[in-house]
Amino acid sequence: MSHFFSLTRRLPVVGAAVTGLFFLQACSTDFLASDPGGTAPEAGVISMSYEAEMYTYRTLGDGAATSDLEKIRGMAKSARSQISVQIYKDGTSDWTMEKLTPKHNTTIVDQTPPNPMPQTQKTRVLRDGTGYFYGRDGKLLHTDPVPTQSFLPIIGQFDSDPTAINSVLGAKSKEQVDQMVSRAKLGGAIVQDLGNGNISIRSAAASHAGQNARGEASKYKQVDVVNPGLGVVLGSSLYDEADGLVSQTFYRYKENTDKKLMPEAIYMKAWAKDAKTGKVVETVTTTQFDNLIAKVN
Amino acid sequence: MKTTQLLVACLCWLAALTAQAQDRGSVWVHGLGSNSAGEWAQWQNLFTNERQLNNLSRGNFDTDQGINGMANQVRSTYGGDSRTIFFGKSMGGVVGRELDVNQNGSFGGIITAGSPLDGARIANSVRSGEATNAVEDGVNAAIEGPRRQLGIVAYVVSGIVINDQIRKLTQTANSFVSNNFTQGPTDLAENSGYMNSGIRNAQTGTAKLLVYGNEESPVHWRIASQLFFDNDDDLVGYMRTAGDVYDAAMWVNYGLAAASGVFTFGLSAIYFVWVADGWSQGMNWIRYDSERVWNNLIGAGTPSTNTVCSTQIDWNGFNQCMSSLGHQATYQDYQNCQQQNSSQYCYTYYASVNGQSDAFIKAPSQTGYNSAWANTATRIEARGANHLEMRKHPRMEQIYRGVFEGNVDGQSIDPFFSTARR
Repeated sequence: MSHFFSLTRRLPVVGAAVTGLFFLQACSTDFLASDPGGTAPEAGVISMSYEAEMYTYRTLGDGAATSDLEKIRGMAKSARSQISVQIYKDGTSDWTMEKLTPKHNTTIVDQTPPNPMPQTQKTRVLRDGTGYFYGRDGKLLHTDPVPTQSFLPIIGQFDSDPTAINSVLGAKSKEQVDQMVSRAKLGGAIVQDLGNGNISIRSAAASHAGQNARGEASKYKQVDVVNPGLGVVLGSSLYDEADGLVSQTFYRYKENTDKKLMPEAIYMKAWAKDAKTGKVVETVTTTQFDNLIAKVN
Repeated sequence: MKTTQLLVACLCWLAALTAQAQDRGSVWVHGLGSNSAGEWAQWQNLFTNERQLNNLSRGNFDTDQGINGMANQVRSTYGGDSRTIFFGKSMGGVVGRELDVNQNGSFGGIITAGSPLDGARIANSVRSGEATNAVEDGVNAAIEGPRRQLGIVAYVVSGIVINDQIRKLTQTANSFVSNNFTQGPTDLAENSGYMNSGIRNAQTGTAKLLVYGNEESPVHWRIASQLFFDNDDDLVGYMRTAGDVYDAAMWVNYGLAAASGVFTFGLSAIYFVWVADGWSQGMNWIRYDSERVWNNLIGAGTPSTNTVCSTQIDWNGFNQCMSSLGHQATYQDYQNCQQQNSSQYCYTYYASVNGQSDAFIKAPSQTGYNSAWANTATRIEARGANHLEMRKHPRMEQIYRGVFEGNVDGQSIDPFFSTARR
């Protein structure tokens, strides 16, 4: 493995040495041609831009029984990015992500000399999933595939009626909520009136995730609590195959200038059993969305 | 009479000049599980050809015999005097201290490089199995995103399986202790019987110079890279790539959750949030936790605390609030219910600060912070050099040359070590 790794990293140098300058120039030209650099993506059917901040930590429970390693894994972390995404009719997407300084300051002042290696500042992920990673100086640092997801489960819901796109943005009408409930029932969901103005919809996670449901959670069940009057999901729970609760998510919406509700924050708690210690680890994550602008083109 | 005095003076001057020009002896002792060729090959030109140093002993010693056993081996190979310089890399330096304290007159000055004078925590961590467990925990974290999104248990970044790359940390940790349960690593472990035998607090008048490696972040990927690729960058670059891919995958999934909230009631959001959380775990382990965990394994993490404040919502209270409003709830009610149940929550948590080290031995141990033996020592930093690199790093050459000239970075060095050029 080490030979392979060394060889792949040194291959361009070896290639240039044996084939001369012409080959080197040809390589460089090809490379630049494939680098999207600062070129703007083609406009999609939907475009979104926002600043997102992820803030996460693990609760440690009984401190006396907690090892240093568990405490380190429990340390809070945060990341913030300026995101803009173009979403296309076929479910593909083109992303631009630029690192920002998080508002939740989880930085620890370490004594270790800093890493001199240039770090990625900006990322572009093309429709085919190819990621281009740029440093602070705008230089391309590396190109690697990024596992993206399809937007078809989201845009597919109004694909049959393009004029419906505008109406589903933000606040939903009573008719739309009824349609959503009917669709869920058709997909095998169990809908219950909770008697307090809310309904619960129990369904397979895969029924919403569509073709994205390839991993572990594709076998999971989810329960969404919906307020039909407001047309929003208040919270969701995810259950594993043994009906064990693995995650709960709550949403906070904010009214934008067009008087439409836009997601402002997602609060998540997740629980997982540590295979070695048998302890249940609780992860708390808040994802905040600021200046969210969604546009249907 | 005058002629006789002049003759005596001339003879004395000549004798002094001859003494200064004479080669002085040097003893070279390697570290745990290593050998003479591996440790000192790089310095042949500097020590033997450039300076007036006569190689008294430069053999291969059996480190499995522990500090005392190795010290006896070393001592039997040469007949030193008070002008001899002892060079000890890693365990070799601890052996030198043993000779200095218990076999007085073995040499007149000692230079150690990356020596665990207060013990090597990595030996404890490997022997207890903690190092392996910590790395496997990291493998699990790194596979969480791919498992949730793609349903796979081994993930490839840049054509290489990430699980395998992370497990290089286990192999790196194991490489330090060489033969796990022999006397060598037993003696070098922190709080070992040998380390606590009183040796650290014995004081001698020998000239001492302690060189400590201070590797750049991320120290763990650098030392593993050194072991596997013979440079300290390849694995760092690979892990940067992996962290970047995980970062992008995380934001893609959070983006789908946001889009779900905007366009489709948020019904599919929990799935994407769950997957994003998986990628986040891997990204955070690769970028942050892994280095703190490694520093904990080598004893270079310092406990501290940090506090972060954020808005927290009591969701039970919020749901009760909404339920009390029933079907009549408006957006204003919704916002009011959230407002009423929101509060500022400040989370204070244990934070481990990454300390200075050569990626195997924390800097305080390399400089004998808890050893009275080292009280009078001069300490020199080898910045950017990890434990394995200290056998050939350009900074080490700069230090050694400066030591022989009596000055390193403007810092005066004990004149004992001054050694003229040939």
